[in-house]
Amino acid sequence: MYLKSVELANFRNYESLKIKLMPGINVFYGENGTGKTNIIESIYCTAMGRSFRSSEEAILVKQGRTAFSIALNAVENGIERDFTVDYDSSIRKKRVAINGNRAARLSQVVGKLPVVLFSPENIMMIKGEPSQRRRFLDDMLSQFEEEYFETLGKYLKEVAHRNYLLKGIREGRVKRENLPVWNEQVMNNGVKIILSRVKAVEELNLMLEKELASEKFRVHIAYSSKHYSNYDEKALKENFRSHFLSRTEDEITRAATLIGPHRDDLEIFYNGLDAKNFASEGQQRITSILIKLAEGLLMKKKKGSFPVVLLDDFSSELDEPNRGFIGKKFSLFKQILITTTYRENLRGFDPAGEFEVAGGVVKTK
Amino acid sequence: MYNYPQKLQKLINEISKLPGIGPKMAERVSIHILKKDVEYIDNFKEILEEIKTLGFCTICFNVSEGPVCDICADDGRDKSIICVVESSEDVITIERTGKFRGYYHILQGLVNPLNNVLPENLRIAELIKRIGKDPVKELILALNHTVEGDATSMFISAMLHDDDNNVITTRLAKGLPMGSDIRYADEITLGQAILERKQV
Ligand SMILES: Nc1ncnc2c1ncn2[C@@H]1O[C@H](COP(=O)(O)OP(=O)(O)OP(=O)(O)O)[C@@H](O)[C@H]1O
Ligand SMILES: [Mg+2]
Ligand SMILES: [Zn+2]
Repeated sequence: MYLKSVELANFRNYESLKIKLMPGINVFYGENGTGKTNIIESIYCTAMGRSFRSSEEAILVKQGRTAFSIALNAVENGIERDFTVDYDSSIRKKRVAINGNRAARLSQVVGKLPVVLFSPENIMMIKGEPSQRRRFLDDMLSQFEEEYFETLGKYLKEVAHRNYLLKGIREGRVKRENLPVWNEQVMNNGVKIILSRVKAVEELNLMLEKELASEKFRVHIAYSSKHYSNYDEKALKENFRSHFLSRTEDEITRAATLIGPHRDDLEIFYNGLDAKNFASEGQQRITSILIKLAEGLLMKKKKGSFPVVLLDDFSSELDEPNRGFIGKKFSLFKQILITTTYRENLRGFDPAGEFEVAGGVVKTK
Repeated sequence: MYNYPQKLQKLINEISKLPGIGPKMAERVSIHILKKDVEYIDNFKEILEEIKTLGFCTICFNVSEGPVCDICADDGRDKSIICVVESSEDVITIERTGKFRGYYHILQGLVNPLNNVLPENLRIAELIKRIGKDPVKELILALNHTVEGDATSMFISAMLHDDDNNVITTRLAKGLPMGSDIRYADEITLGQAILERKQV
């Protein structure tokens, strides 16, 4: 899939924008704070139903205005599709539509316009908290399968209900007999999520080994949990059941569900060593880029169509040979949108479209 | 700062407590009412006055004029099957499909711990009692495929098993998309889901 056009109205610093994009590499360059990331953000919001920078939609509305709209035209095998998002902050309502047909639920949209986002923040999947690694897996899997997105939403709500029950039990408001049903729900959806994630990790590793490994870099990831290591449905359920039998007192004291995919993590290895503790800054950056590339390749395999690659702030932090190596890998995709401060940062790339961004105005070069 | 006259504010406040109505909508509705003539308001008042005499059926907890609703009073229905729903609106929706000839039981909500709704706050105990009495062979749990709908179904199934009876419980089949609300399903889809219900 590739994007043919992007239209924005009152989105971030754009009052109105209309640009035509090309298959291949599209470069947006301009000084800091001119609105390059805002363009990437508008596409990501349409694809994923939320921004990667803010969880509050009202922030996306141009200051002094009350509503924004995004309209993307995408092409897949010669067939065009219109994706639109309209948000009105005065009634706090968002409408998302494909070809003018309004989606009743977000799950009907997520994954229909596959995207892979590369941003400087990606390095946090190495350096950061477990939640950032879970987020990586969840965003990827949500685009792969509508069912994953739905199941994850249900699971997180079930955990919230269960935690509130635990609190109620602690305070003596609620009877313990309420727990078994919620244990069962948390277990059933939790196990589904774990199994999907573990399978995805295997598939990512296959991509990392087959398509992305080199003599210099070998990246490997592993799913990790404090509570289970045998990722077989029956074994996992056993783990949950025995946990609920033996740890409930502790859970009541802490009013928290202490087992499940919302507490799991990923281990990331760079050339056989734990990347968080042993890899240099540059090596961490490369590791995160390789993992995102694996995500992109896997997305292509799963969806049978190319994801749109969004490459925000392509930095000059990588040394020359690494930039060459990574640059070549990006040519595996059909369309890439790259933002950077100076055109010169993209020496060696061959852009199909170039755009100069300055203060909310974009000039096609 | 200027605000609406207090009488109007009171109305807005009351209307905004209604489900699904936010503050903006409450303002719009209130001002709409305000613009109408005295006759309209009197009529409205009378309608509200009249529904005070309505209550709930003592058997199935559907809305009802008297102690027993029209459906429960109808002897010609299939006594072996009860359709369990969240609220009276669902009865109307399912009746419209024309695919169901049994009786109903209205739970008056779904289990929802975060909103402090636990099984004992619903009409589940009354349902179990009913099953003990009537020649019921099957329960259709026509509850939404949501977290709360799933949990409520599980509570009912678990309580039935504890009670040692031979009632089959079925759940509306897919065809209803996950996370969906049966009230918004079209009649064909819902009719299909009733026919293809699955044992739980
Ligand atoms: N809601 C909004 N209304 C108006 N302007 C906004 C809004 N939100 C952000 N901006 C403006 O958008 C600009 C930031 O845009 P963006 O993040 O796209 O910059 P950038 O070109 O990616 O910069 P950098 O090179 O530093 O990453 C800032 O000037 C900011 O003030
Ligand atoms: Mg930026
Ligand atoms: Zn009745």
